[in-house]
Amino acid sequence: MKKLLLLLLLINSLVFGGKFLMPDEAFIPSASIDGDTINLEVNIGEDIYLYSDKFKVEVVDSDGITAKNVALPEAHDHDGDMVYTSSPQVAITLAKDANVSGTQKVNVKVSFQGCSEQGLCYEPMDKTFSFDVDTNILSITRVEHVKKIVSDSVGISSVVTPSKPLDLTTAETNETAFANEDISETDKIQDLLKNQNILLVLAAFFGIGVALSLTPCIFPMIPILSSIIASQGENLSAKRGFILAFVYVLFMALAYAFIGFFVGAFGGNLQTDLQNPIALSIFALIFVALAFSMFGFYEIGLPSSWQSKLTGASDNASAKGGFVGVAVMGFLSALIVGPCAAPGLSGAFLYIGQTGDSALGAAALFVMGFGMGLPLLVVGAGAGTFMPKPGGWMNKVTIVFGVVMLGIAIEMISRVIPSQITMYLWALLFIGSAVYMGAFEALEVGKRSWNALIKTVAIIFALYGSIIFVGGLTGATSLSKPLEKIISSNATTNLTTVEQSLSFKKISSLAELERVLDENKGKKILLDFAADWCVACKEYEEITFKDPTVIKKMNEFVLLRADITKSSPEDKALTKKFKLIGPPGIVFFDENGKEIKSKTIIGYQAPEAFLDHLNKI
Amino acid sequence: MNKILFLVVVCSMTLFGDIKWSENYVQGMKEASESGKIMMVMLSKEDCPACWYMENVVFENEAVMKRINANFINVHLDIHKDNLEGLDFIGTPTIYFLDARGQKISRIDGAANVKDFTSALNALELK
Repeated sequence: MKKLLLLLLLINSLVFGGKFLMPDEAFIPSASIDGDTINLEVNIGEDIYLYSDKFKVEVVDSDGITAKNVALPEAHDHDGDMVYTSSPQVAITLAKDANVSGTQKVNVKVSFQGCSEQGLCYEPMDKTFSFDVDTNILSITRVEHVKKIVSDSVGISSVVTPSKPLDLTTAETNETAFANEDISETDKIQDLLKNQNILLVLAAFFGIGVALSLTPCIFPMIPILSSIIASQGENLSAKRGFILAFVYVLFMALAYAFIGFFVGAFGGNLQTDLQNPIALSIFALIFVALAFSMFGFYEIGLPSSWQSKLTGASDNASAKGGFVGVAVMGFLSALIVGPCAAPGLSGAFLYIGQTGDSALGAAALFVMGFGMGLPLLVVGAGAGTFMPKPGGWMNKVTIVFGVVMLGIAIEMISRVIPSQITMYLWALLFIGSAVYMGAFEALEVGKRSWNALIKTVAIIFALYGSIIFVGGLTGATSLSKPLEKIISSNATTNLTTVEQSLSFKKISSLAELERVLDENKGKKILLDFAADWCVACKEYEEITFKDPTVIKKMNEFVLLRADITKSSPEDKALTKKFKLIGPPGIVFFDENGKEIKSKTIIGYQAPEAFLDHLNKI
Repeated sequence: MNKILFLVVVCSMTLFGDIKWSENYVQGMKEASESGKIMMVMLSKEDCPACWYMENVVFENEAVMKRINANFINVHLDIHKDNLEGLDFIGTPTIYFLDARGQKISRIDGAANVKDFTSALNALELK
């Protein structure tokens, strides 16, 4: 009720009819364009103020053109309301979708509402400005369109019309308030990072990196790094091991810095883009190529002219391309292992995407990469110190890592090829390894101890590979349950093991989601985001969603699924709406169809954790 | 603190009575033609500090209230909810004085403090 104080002031400044400014005198909006930026101003008359929460600037009805950045002036407190008492000026930086080119019409709409200090409140107004913009100078965005309101693109909307305009601010404010009292993991990371100075932000990101390094996510990097260090051969000291690890981590961090830079610059849906079928196929091929080089078919290195240049430049014998290889691997593994650390990275990307600050983004993700690499540095130092003397066995180690790399390649490509074929590839890998290990060769007399062990393992591999192959033929899709089709067809007579299944209703657009939410008022709703190329989604399918207790609990919910394999604009709008970086993500809604923000799950959860989560909803 | 103060002020004010508002515009017209009094029509809306000031400060002034209740038929219209009967405005609050046939006598744009509102009433009665 601070308003009371304000209004008592009116006693000193009364004006009678006729002295008030007419609405079109009180507020004079104007706009001009300068390159990719539209400068907009609402010139306000004497004693006029504007409510900042009613002040909105947006790009409307402009296909493929969006506001990348809207710099609103700072409002200040005016007896309890946040207002502008001087003419607000706004700079709108435009961006376009990738497929837009040529000159295009861009409409910018400004909506505002205000009062006169002398005791008159005006109706909400809006005005739309049109510009012909040369889209070739605009930067490309992946950010979804700002919420659109149908504009009446006439000048100032009629003053007498007693209609209240659609108010989006209210909904958003409520959402924020809600988030503050009850915060999800991603929100927490974001919150921590908001309004902090840069050093704190960097420290926080380093901490996040270290935390991520303690997840199983980092493990795929350890064999990769070890194999590189091992392949350096004879002169491996602890120091050199550490330096190699350092270079690896440095370039891994640099890769993240690059990502940070681009996320900062463009925002948007990063994981989707890094995991699209083409990128995955290319990475898989790279891994296959690396694996075969480890098998000794050929050597991968920079062209000798480059190598000699590099060597000459550094004039350092130790830089024989080994460091370059380590650097490249570090860079690549960041891209590959990245998506697996979904929650932390989501928070980081979201934050950086929102700041739109590419320098900060790069710096923050760089230190995060270093945090993630901390254990690798330890491994690097240790590898040199504690590893036994190099010898013939190292070739075998290298081959083992070659096999691991093939496995990684299969894992990656499995997101884009039919799961049946994945099964055959795995079978091929296991049986091939078994053959190579000598599963079908006689043991040499007198050298039983080690070789017997290896042969045992080889036979197990051969058996497992065969089972996977058979499983693949019968239509099984899971490595851990290759015989499930055979077993389940035998078990149909056993009533207790009859599996309940989950049926998800497909959602393909925001509009459809809203309709379904509306139809299902009074029920709790679970919305699962999945995509064919998303490996953690498969884990959900194969493990968590197969758990009978989980199924039972899940059937208490209305189950929806958004398949965002194609990354269509509708898909992107959906992920954007729930601030998901990419799949998997599970969003929950309460009985009123309102999103329960704090309960959003990003990344994979095992059945127990998932069940626990469901029970809290 | 301000809230409490406000409540105390409002509560003590209500002890002294309130503006008598007609049920709606049509009812007000009827009462005006029966009594021959002038109609005072106030246009306001929610979320309007100036309207709030008018209703809770000026109209709660004892002298003003007595005078309004005695001399006018009072009608209150929300510009977003009610039929405005063709009354226009540049903002809220706007106060119209109409004769019994609905013809405009005068109009006040925006809020006025007790002194100025009183002199507006004086001017009206001189007409």
